Amino acid sequence: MIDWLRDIGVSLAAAEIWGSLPLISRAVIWLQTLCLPGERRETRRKEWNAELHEEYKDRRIAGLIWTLSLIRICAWEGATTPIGLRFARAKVIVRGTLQSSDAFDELTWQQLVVAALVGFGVVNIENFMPRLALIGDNLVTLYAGASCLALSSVVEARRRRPRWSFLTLVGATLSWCGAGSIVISLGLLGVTSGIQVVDVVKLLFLPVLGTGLIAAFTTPNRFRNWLGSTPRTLARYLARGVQAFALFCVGVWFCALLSTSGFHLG
Amino acid sequence: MRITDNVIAIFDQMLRPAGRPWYGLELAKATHIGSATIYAVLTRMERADLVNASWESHDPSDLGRPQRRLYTLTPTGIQVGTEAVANYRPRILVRSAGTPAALPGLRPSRGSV
Repeated sequence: MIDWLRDIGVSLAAAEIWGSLPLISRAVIWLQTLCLPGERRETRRKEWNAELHEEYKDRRIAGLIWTLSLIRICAWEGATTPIGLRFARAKVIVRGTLQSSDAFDELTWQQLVVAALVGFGVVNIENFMPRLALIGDNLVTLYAGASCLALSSVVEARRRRPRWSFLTLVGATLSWCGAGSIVISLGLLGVTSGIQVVDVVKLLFLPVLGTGLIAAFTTPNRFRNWLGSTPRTLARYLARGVQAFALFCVGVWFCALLSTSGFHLG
Repeated sequence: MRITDNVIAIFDQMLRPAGRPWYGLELAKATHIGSATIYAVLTRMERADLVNASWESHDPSDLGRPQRRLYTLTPTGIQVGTEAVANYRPRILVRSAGTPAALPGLRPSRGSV
Protein backbone atom coordinates (compact mmCIF):
# COMPACT_ATOMS: atom_id res chain seq x y z
CA MET A 1 0.00 0.00 0.00
CA ILE A 2 2.78 2.37 0.87
CA ASP A 3 4.40 2.02 -2.55
CA TRP A 4 1.11 2.75 -4.19
CA LEU A 5 0.51 5.80 -2.01
CA ARG A 6 4.06 6.99 -2.53
CA ASP A 7 3.73 6.85 -6.30
CA ILE A 8 0.48 8.77 -6.28
CA GLY A 9 1.73 11.20 -3.68
CA VAL A 10 4.89 12.07 -5.55
CA SER A 11 3.18 12.46 -8.88
CA LEU A 12 0.51 14.77 -7.47
CA ALA A 13 2.56 16.64 -4.90
CA ALA A 14 3.54 19.42 -7.29
CA ALA A 15 -0.02 19.88 -8.49
CA GLU A 16 -1.24 19.88 -4.92
CA ILE A 17 1.16 22.59 -3.83
CA TRP A 18 0.20 24.68 -6.83
CA GLY A 19 -3.49 24.14 -6.16
CA SER A 20 -3.09 25.00 -2.49
CA LEU A 21 -1.47 28.37 -3.04
CA PRO A 22 -4.78 30.29 -2.78
CA LEU A 23 -5.50 28.41 0.45
CA ILE A 24 -2.05 29.30 1.72
CA SER A 25 -2.67 32.94 0.82
CA ARG A 26 -5.89 32.89 2.81
CA ALA A 27 -4.10 31.22 5.68
CA VAL A 28 -1.44 33.95 5.60
CA ILE A 29 -4.17 36.59 5.83
CA TRP A 30 -5.78 34.69 8.68
CA LEU A 31 -2.51 34.46 10.58
CA GLN A 32 -1.45 38.05 9.92
CA THR A 33 -4.71 39.50 11.13
CA LEU A 34 -4.45 37.74 14.47
CA CYS A 35 -2.59 40.78 15.77
CA LEU A 36 -5.58 43.04 15.07
CA PRO A 37 -8.26 43.72 17.66
CA GLY A 38 -11.63 41.93 17.34
CA GLU A 39 -13.86 43.82 14.94
CA ARG A 40 -10.95 45.15 12.96
CA ARG A 41 -9.66 41.63 12.41
CA GLU A 42 -12.95 40.44 10.96
CA THR A 43 -13.18 43.49 8.72
CA ARG A 44 -9.69 43.06 7.34
CA ARG A 45 -10.05 39.33 6.77
CA LYS A 46 -13.26 39.82 4.89
CA GLU A 47 -11.93 42.74 2.86
CA TRP A 48 -8.64 41.11 1.89
CA ASN A 49 -10.14 37.72 1.16
CA ALA A 50 -12.59 39.43 -1.19
CA GLU A 51 -9.80 41.26 -2.97
CA LEU A 52 -7.62 38.18 -3.09
CA HIS A 53 -10.49 36.35 -4.72
CA GLU A 54 -11.23 39.16 -7.15
CA GLU A 55 -7.79 40.32 -8.21
CA TYR A 56 -5.59 37.27 -7.81
CA LYS A 57 -7.95 34.45 -8.66
CA ASP A 58 -5.74 33.16 -11.45
CA ARG A 59 -2.44 34.63 -10.22
CA ARG A 60 -1.48 32.37 -7.38
CA ILE A 61 2.11 33.44 -6.76
CA ALA A 62 1.29 37.14 -7.15
CA GLY A 63 -1.56 36.67 -4.71
CA LEU A 64 0.71 35.02 -2.17
CA ILE A 65 3.27 37.82 -2.50
CA TRP A 66 0.50 40.37 -2.09
CA THR A 67 -0.79 38.75 1.09
CA LEU A 68 2.74 38.60 2.51
CA SER A 69 3.13 42.33 1.82
CA LEU A 70 0.11 43.04 4.03
CA ILE A 71 1.96 42.10 7.19
CA ARG A 72 3.35 45.58 7.71
CA ILE A 73 -0.15 47.04 7.46
CA CYS A 74 -1.32 44.56 10.08
CA ALA A 75 1.56 45.51 12.33
CA TRP A 76 0.88 49.22 11.86
CA GLU A 77 -2.87 48.88 12.26
CA GLY A 78 -2.50 46.59 15.27
CA ALA A 79 -0.23 49.12 16.92
CA THR A 80 -2.34 52.18 16.15
CA THR A 81 -5.86 50.85 16.61
CA PRO A 82 -7.12 51.67 20.08
CA ILE A 83 -8.29 48.59 21.95
CA GLY A 84 -11.41 48.90 24.01
CA LEU A 85 -11.56 47.48 27.51
CA ARG A 86 -13.82 44.68 26.29
CA PHE A 87 -11.26 43.52 23.73
CA ALA A 88 -8.43 43.61 26.26
CA ARG A 89 -9.93 40.82 28.36
CA ALA A 90 -8.09 37.51 28.01
CA LYS A 91 -11.30 35.56 27.43
CA VAL A 92 -12.31 37.78 24.52
CA ILE A 93 -8.82 37.65 23.02
CA VAL A 94 -8.72 33.85 23.11
CA ARG A 95 -12.24 33.54 21.76
CA GLY A 96 -11.56 36.06 19.02
CA THR A 97 -8.41 34.20 18.03
CA LEU A 98 -10.07 30.83 17.82
CA GLN A 99 -13.35 31.91 16.27
CA SER A 100 -13.90 33.69 13.03
CA SER A 101 -16.87 34.47 10.87
CA ASP A 102 -14.71 33.30 7.99
CA ALA A 103 -15.14 29.62 8.75
CA PHE A 104 -13.61 28.63 5.43
CA ASP A 105 -10.20 28.85 6.97
CA GLU A 106 -11.26 26.80 9.94
CA LEU A 107 -12.57 24.08 7.64
CA THR A 108 -9.30 24.16 5.74
CA TRP A 109 -7.33 23.68 8.91
CA GLN A 110 -9.63 20.88 9.94
CA GLN A 111 -9.09 19.24 6.59
CA LEU A 112 -5.32 19.42 6.96
CA VAL A 113 -5.37 18.22 10.54
CA VAL A 114 -7.65 15.30 9.70
CA ALA A 115 -5.45 14.29 6.77
CA ALA A 116 -2.29 14.47 8.87
CA LEU A 117 -3.72 12.61 11.87
CA VAL A 118 -5.38 9.87 9.87
CA GLY A 119 -2.30 9.48 7.70
CA PHE A 120 -0.16 9.07 10.78
CA GLY A 121 -2.64 6.60 12.20
CA VAL A 122 -2.73 4.51 9.02
CA VAL A 123 1.01 4.06 9.04
CA ASN A 124 1.28 3.35 12.74
CA ILE A 125 -1.86 1.30 13.26
CA GLU A 126 -0.02 -2.01 13.07
CA ASN A 127 2.18 -0.94 15.97
CA PHE A 128 -0.61 -0.62 18.48
CA MET A 129 -3.42 -2.68 16.89
CA PRO A 130 -1.74 -5.59 15.09
CA ARG A 131 -4.91 -7.66 14.70
CA LEU A 132 -6.75 -4.80 13.08
CA ALA A 133 -3.89 -3.86 10.81
CA LEU A 134 -5.29 -5.38 7.63
CA ILE A 135 -8.84 -4.15 8.03
CA GLY A 136 -7.71 -0.93 9.63
CA ASP A 137 -5.41 -0.14 6.74
CA ASN A 138 -8.18 -0.39 4.24
CA LEU A 139 -10.97 1.20 6.22
CA VAL A 140 -9.05 4.13 7.59
CA THR A 141 -7.54 4.84 4.23
CA LEU A 142 -10.86 4.77 2.48
CA TYR A 143 -12.67 6.71 5.17
CA ALA A 144 -9.98 9.36 5.16
CA GLY A 145 -10.14 9.59 1.41
CA ALA A 146 -13.90 9.92 1.48
CA SER A 147 -13.72 12.49 4.24
CA CYS A 148 -11.23 14.55 2.31
CA LEU A 149 -13.38 14.44 -0.79
CA ALA A 150 -16.61 15.24 1.00
CA LEU A 151 -15.17 17.95 3.19
CA SER A 152 -13.30 19.57 0.34
CA SER A 153 -16.49 19.70 -1.68
CA VAL A 154 -18.21 21.36 1.25
CA VAL A 155 -15.35 23.83 1.53
CA GLU A 156 -15.54 24.60 -2.14
CA ALA A 157 -19.29 25.10 -1.97
CA ARG A 158 -18.96 27.32 1.05
CA ARG A 159 -16.45 29.51 -0.73
CA ARG A 160 -19.08 30.18 -3.33
CA ARG A 161 -21.67 31.01 -0.66
CA PRO A 162 -19.87 32.69 2.22
CA ARG A 163 -22.90 32.74 4.56
CA TRP A 164 -24.01 29.34 5.70
CA SER A 165 -26.85 28.79 8.09
CA PHE A 166 -26.56 26.49 11.09
CA LEU A 167 -28.87 23.94 9.48
CA THR A 168 -26.73 23.89 6.37
CA LEU A 169 -23.64 23.14 8.40
CA VAL A 170 -25.49 20.38 10.27
CA GLY A 171 -26.65 18.90 6.98
CA ALA A 172 -23.16 19.03 5.53
CA THR A 173 -21.70 17.38 8.62
CA LEU A 174 -24.27 14.59 8.53
CA SER A 175 -23.59 14.06 4.85
CA TRP A 176 -19.89 13.93 5.57
CA CYS A 177 -20.44 11.22 8.17
CA GLY A 178 -22.83 9.47 5.81
CA ALA A 179 -20.28 9.44 3.07
CA GLY A 180 -17.77 7.87 5.44
CA SER A 181 -20.28 5.21 6.52
CA ILE A 182 -21.04 4.25 2.95
CA VAL A 183 -17.38 3.96 2.12
CA ILE A 184 -16.66 1.91 5.22
CA SER A 185 -19.47 -0.49 4.35
CA LEU A 186 -18.32 -0.91 0.79
CA GLY A 187 -14.70 -1.09 1.88
CA LEU A 188 -15.57 -3.84 4.36
CA LEU A 189 -17.17 -5.80 1.55
CA GLY A 190 -14.02 -5.34 -0.48
CA VAL A 191 -11.76 -6.49 2.34
CA THR A 192 -13.78 -9.54 3.29
CA SER A 193 -14.02 -10.65 -0.33
CA GLY A 194 -10.25 -10.49 -0.67
CA ILE A 195 -10.11 -7.59 -3.11
CA GLN A 196 -6.97 -5.48 -2.85
CA VAL A 197 -7.25 -1.93 -1.62
CA VAL A 198 -6.28 -0.47 -5.00
CA ASP A 199 -9.20 -2.25 -6.61
CA VAL A 200 -11.55 -1.09 -3.88
CA VAL A 201 -10.42 2.49 -4.35
CA LYS A 202 -11.00 2.24 -8.06
CA LEU A 203 -14.37 0.67 -7.43
CA LEU A 204 -15.33 3.35 -4.94
CA PHE A 205 -13.96 6.37 -6.69
CA LEU A 206 -17.17 7.37 -8.37
CA PRO A 207 -19.46 6.64 -5.37
CA VAL A 208 -17.13 8.57 -3.10
CA LEU A 209 -17.04 11.47 -5.48
CA GLY A 210 -20.81 11.35 -5.67
CA THR A 211 -21.29 11.39 -1.92
CA GLY A 212 -18.81 14.23 -1.65
CA LEU A 213 -20.78 16.26 -4.12
CA ILE A 214 -24.05 15.44 -2.39
CA ALA A 215 -22.53 16.65 0.86
CA ALA A 216 -22.08 20.02 -0.75
CA PHE A 217 -25.73 20.27 -1.71
CA THR A 218 -27.72 19.23 1.33
CA THR A 219 -30.15 22.10 1.57
CA PRO A 220 -32.59 23.58 -0.92
CA ASN A 221 -30.04 26.25 -1.69
CA ARG A 222 -27.41 23.64 -2.40
CA PHE A 223 -29.88 21.76 -4.56
CA ARG A 224 -30.65 24.93 -6.46
CA ASN A 225 -26.96 25.44 -7.00
CA TRP A 226 -26.64 21.85 -8.07
CA LEU A 227 -29.26 22.37 -10.74
CA GLY A 228 -27.55 25.54 -11.88
CA SER A 229 -24.03 24.15 -11.81
CA THR A 230 -21.97 24.41 -14.94
CA PRO A 231 -19.55 21.72 -16.05
CA ARG A 232 -16.76 24.07 -15.02
CA THR A 233 -18.14 24.28 -11.49
CA LEU A 234 -18.38 20.53 -11.25
CA ALA A 235 -14.86 20.22 -12.60
CA ARG A 236 -13.72 22.58 -9.85
CA TYR A 237 -15.32 20.39 -7.20
CA LEU A 238 -13.64 17.37 -8.70
CA ALA A 239 -10.26 19.10 -8.84
CA ARG A 240 -10.55 20.19 -5.22
CA GLY A 241 -11.45 16.69 -4.16
CA VAL A 242 -8.54 15.18 -6.03
CA GLN A 243 -6.23 17.76 -4.51
CA ALA A 244 -7.45 16.94 -1.02
CA PHE A 245 -7.02 13.23 -1.59
CA ALA A 246 -3.54 13.82 -2.99
CA LEU A 247 -2.73 15.82 0.11
CA PHE A 248 -3.82 12.90 2.20
CA CYS A 249 -1.61 10.57 0.14
CA VAL A 250 1.35 12.87 0.61
CA GLY A 251 0.67 12.90 4.34
CA VAL A 252 0.62 9.10 4.45
CA TRP A 253 3.80 8.92 2.44
CA PHE A 254 5.52 11.36 4.76
CA CYS A 255 4.40 9.38 7.79
CA ALA A 256 5.62 6.22 6.11
CA LEU A 257 9.03 7.78 5.75
CA LEU A 258 8.97 8.61 9.45
CA SER A 259 7.96 5.05 10.29
CA THR A 260 10.62 3.41 8.16
CA SER A 261 13.16 5.67 9.77
CA GLY A 262 12.28 4.17 13.15
CA PHE A 263 9.82 6.79 14.37
CA HIS A 264 6.79 4.94 15.80
CA LEU A 265 4.00 5.69 18.20
CA GLY A 266 4.02 2.35 19.98
CA MET B 1 -4.34 64.49 9.50
CA ARG B 2 -1.20 65.03 7.43
CA ILE B 3 -1.96 65.42 3.72
CA THR B 4 0.78 63.39 2.04
CA ASP B 5 1.36 62.79 -1.65
CA ASN B 6 -0.40 59.44 -1.35
CA VAL B 7 -3.46 61.12 0.14
CA ILE B 8 -3.45 63.68 -2.67
CA ALA B 9 -3.25 60.93 -5.29
CA ILE B 10 -6.20 59.13 -3.68
CA PHE B 11 -8.21 62.34 -3.47
CA ASP B 12 -7.46 63.07 -7.11
CA GLN B 13 -8.68 59.65 -8.17
CA MET B 14 -11.75 59.55 -5.96
CA LEU B 15 -12.90 63.00 -7.05
CA ARG B 16 -13.44 61.75 -10.60
CA PRO B 17 -16.42 61.49 -9.98
CA ALA B 18 -16.74 62.17 -6.26
CA GLY B 19 -19.64 59.82 -5.52
CA ARG B 20 -18.17 56.69 -7.03
CA PRO B 21 -17.26 53.90 -4.59
CA TRP B 22 -13.81 52.31 -4.90
CA TYR B 23 -12.33 49.18 -3.41
CA GLY B 24 -8.78 49.03 -2.14
CA LEU B 25 -6.92 47.23 -4.90
CA GLU B 26 -8.78 49.17 -7.57
CA LEU B 27 -7.56 52.41 -6.00
CA ALA B 28 -4.05 51.00 -5.71
CA LYS B 29 -3.96 50.24 -9.42
CA ALA B 30 -5.41 53.59 -10.42
CA THR B 31 -3.07 55.65 -8.25
CA HIS B 32 0.03 53.42 -8.60
CA ILE B 33 0.35 53.35 -4.84
CA GLY B 34 1.61 50.08 -3.40
CA SER B 35 -1.27 47.69 -2.82
CA ALA B 36 -0.31 47.24 0.82
CA THR B 37 0.26 50.95 1.48
CA ILE B 38 -3.16 51.91 0.19
CA TYR B 39 -4.96 50.30 3.14
CA ALA B 40 -2.93 52.23 5.69
CA VAL B 41 -3.68 55.50 3.91
CA LEU B 42 -7.36 54.67 3.59
CA THR B 43 -7.51 53.75 7.27
CA ARG B 44 -6.01 57.11 8.23
CA MET B 45 -8.48 58.88 5.93
CA GLU B 46 -11.34 56.89 7.42
CA ARG B 47 -10.31 57.84 10.93
CA ALA B 48 -10.15 61.49 9.86
CA ASP B 49 -13.69 61.19 8.42
CA LEU B 50 -12.48 61.93 4.90
CA VAL B 51 -13.71 58.63 3.46
CA ASN B 52 -16.52 56.36 4.43
CA ALA B 53 -16.16 52.56 4.22
CA SER B 54 -19.07 50.21 3.71
CA TRP B 55 -19.73 46.70 2.47
CA GLU B 56 -21.19 45.93 -0.90
CA SER B 57 -24.93 45.52 -0.51
CA HIS B 58 -25.38 42.71 -3.05
CA ASP B 59 -25.73 39.08 -2.04
CA PRO B 60 -22.39 37.25 -2.52
CA SER B 61 -24.22 34.32 -4.13
CA ASP B 62 -25.58 36.66 -6.78
CA LEU B 63 -22.21 38.29 -7.29
CA GLY B 64 -20.39 34.96 -7.43
CA ARG B 65 -17.66 36.37 -5.20
CA PRO B 66 -17.25 37.73 -1.66
CA GLN B 67 -18.50 41.20 -0.81
CA ARG B 68 -16.01 43.99 -1.34
CA ARG B 69 -15.35 46.81 1.08
CA LEU B 70 -16.05 50.06 -0.73
CA TYR B 71 -14.66 53.49 0.04
CA THR B 72 -16.42 56.75 -0.85
CA LEU B 73 -15.52 60.34 -0.08
CA THR B 74 -17.51 62.04 2.67
CA PRO B 75 -18.69 65.65 2.19
CA THR B 76 -15.73 66.72 4.33
CA GLY B 77 -13.44 64.58 2.19
CA ILE B 78 -14.75 66.15 -1.00
CA GLN B 79 -14.13 69.61 0.37
CA VAL B 80 -10.67 68.88 1.76
CA GLY B 81 -9.70 66.85 -1.29
CA THR B 82 -10.75 69.46 -3.79
CA GLU B 83 -8.67 72.11 -2.01
CA ALA B 84 -5.71 69.81 -1.55
CA VAL B 85 -5.62 68.74 -5.19
CA ALA B 86 -6.02 72.34 -6.39
CA ASN B 87 -3.11 73.51 -4.22
CA TYR B 88 -0.89 70.55 -5.02
CA ARG B 89 2.67 71.36 -6.09
CA PRO B 90 4.77 68.22 -6.32
CA ARG B 91 8.36 68.64 -5.23
CA ILE B 92 9.74 66.75 -8.17
CA LEU B 93 8.42 69.42 -10.55
CA VAL B 94 10.11 72.15 -8.55
CA ARG B 95 13.42 70.32 -8.57
CA SER B 96 13.50 69.41 -12.23
CA ALA B 97 11.45 72.32 -13.57
CA GLY B 98 10.01 69.84 -16.02
CA THR B 99 6.66 69.80 -17.70
CA PRO B 100 3.55 69.25 -15.61
CA ALA B 101 2.45 65.69 -15.31
CA ALA B 102 -0.79 64.03 -14.30
CA LEU B 103 -1.09 63.36 -10.60
CA PRO B 104 -1.76 59.66 -10.36
CA GLY B 105 1.05 58.44 -12.56
CA LEU B 106 3.66 60.84 -11.23
CA ARG B 107 4.37 59.28 -7.83
CA PRO B 108 6.43 62.24 -6.55
CA SER B 109 8.59 62.19 -3.46
CA ARG B 110 6.88 61.83 -0.12
CA GLY B 111 6.09 64.80 2.08
CA SER B 112 3.48 67.25 3.25
CA VAL B 113 1.88 69.78 0.97
